[in-house]
Amino acid sequence: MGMVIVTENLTKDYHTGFRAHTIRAIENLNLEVEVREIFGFLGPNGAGKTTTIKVLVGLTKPTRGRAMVLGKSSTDVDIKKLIGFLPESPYFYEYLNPVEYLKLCAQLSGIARAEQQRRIEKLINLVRLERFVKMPMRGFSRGMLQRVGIAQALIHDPELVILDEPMGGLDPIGRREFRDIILKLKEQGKTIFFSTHILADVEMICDRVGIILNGKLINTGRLDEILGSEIETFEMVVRGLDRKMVKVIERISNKVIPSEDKVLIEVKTEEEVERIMVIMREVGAKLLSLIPRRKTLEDHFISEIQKERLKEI
Amino acid sequence: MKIIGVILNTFRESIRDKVFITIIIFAILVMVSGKVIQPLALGEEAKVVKDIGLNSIALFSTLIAILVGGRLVYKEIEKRTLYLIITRPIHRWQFIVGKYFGLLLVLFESILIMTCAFYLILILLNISASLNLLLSVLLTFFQLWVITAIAILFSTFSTPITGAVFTFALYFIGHLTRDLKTFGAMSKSGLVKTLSDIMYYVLPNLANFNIKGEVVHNVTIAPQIIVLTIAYAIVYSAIIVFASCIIFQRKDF
Ligand SMILES: Nc1ncnc2c1ncn2[C@@H]1O[C@H](COP(=O)(O)OP(=O)(O)OP(=O)(O)O)[C@@H](O)[C@H]1O
Ligand SMILES: [Mg+2]
Repeated sequence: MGMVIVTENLTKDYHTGFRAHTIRAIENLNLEVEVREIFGFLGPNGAGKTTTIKVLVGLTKPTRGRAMVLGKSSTDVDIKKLIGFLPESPYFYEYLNPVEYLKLCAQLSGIARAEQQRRIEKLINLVRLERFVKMPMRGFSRGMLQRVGIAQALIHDPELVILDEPMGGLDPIGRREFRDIILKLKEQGKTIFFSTHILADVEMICDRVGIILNGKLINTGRLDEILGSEIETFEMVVRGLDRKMVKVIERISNKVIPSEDKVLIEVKTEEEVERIMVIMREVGAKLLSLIPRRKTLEDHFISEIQKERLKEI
Repeated sequence: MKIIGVILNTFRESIRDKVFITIIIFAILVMVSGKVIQPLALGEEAKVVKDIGLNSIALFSTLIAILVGGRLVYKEIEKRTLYLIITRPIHRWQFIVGKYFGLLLVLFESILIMTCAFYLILILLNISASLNLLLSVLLTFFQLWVITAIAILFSTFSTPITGAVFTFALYFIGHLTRDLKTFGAMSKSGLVKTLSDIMYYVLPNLANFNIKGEVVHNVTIAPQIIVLTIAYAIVYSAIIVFASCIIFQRKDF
């Protein structure tokens, strides 16, 4: 299958301060993103997500290694008309209104004049900025700027969309609308690469994720590969258990939380569920719900980060 | 064409900038003030008004070039607006060249407004307004090609304040470089001679652009001098803009 993004041993050092002090922002990054894929790039603050993205869009040159985008070097100017980019907390010319700005973007991306107006209207509607088209962006809120950012990234109908924390500053409705936009782009055959530290967003829409920590890619793969599809725990809610019975069940499960008239029980295996059911039948207790829980990305993320931190010590 | 987009946006940015409008209004006020001190200049009223007018046009347009030009590229880096320009299919040099001509367009407009105001004042005061004065304005405009190029060069690697100070310094030194060469020629030391020669060619030579005295006193100027001075402005600024492009091309954001 065609690769849209390939990085080989990508390394970036920043030199700061008066002394020759270097910060290695990313180290030997080997990433592959396939065509028509939604790829989530995950990592905590300072992990190197923005640095990687800056290399991919040609704002920064790698110290070592290389980054290929759409089959060419990431600094190649010709591929830029096929890439849509949204930087982290984007900022635009404050003296322009969104329509003037999108017009400039369309012009720079080489969209024919006749086509410009149609694209602009479509995108203003898509990101719901209709009410603000005449307002200079000086007065825009963070979420409104983010919407302009999404519109400018899509104005030239790019094949690959690279977004740095696209959900930043968006309200819950905005996040949902954004997820729909991304899924629609995938349907149209586009490839989407975006960074985030909000795991719920990734779980809902990503085909694959990459986890970056301290500049190193520590895990990539399909979500179900990373998380495993098997069920980790069962959560039972039961009514009609008295104190004595709760004590008995505590011998089977190490997580029993009684509240007013219900008890929450967490067990690891189906066999344990069976044993509790038997006890319940004896005393005439009632099962209100039984929910199998898979490992969440959050669990995985936190355990990976802890593993890395332990290695450091 | 893409570069036109950058030029027009730079133009739009500058004319929506308060600094720009303030400077133009101030320049016109200074020109009008020529009328106030006119009675002090016995029999030389016309020359004083013309002198003040031409000097205001030169000074205030230079101020615009340095204050607005010095911030042009820096502001784009600082506010990261440029991320979304240079990640589009446009070469980095096109961005710099676009900024340069955008600012020249702004300066052309400023000079146009100030010159119109100047001629209006002359007509109102019943002073003969010969077209000869326009030659001086023309050279002022080409001097701005050089100043703007220098301002943009500094703007690619230094803060606006440092850039403005150095551009101003070069502007003043630029009017003395001819004397520098004369001074070097008089010196007996070979080292001083070579040094002054190098500085003469490296530093901008702006004295030739100043023909205000000549036009005010109706001294005729050889057309070759005008043509050569304009050619000098074009070549010198092309080299500086080229250097700015190289610095900008290598930059990491
Ligand atoms: N211009 C720079 N100069 C010096 N160091 C930098 C620069 N940009 C980034 N860094 C360093 O590189 C590392 C990675 O930063 P980066 O911005 O890529 O992280 P991130 O994953 O995007 O974080 P966040 O989630 O906070 O946006 C950090 O340690 C940061 O301090
Ligand atoms: Mg970041």
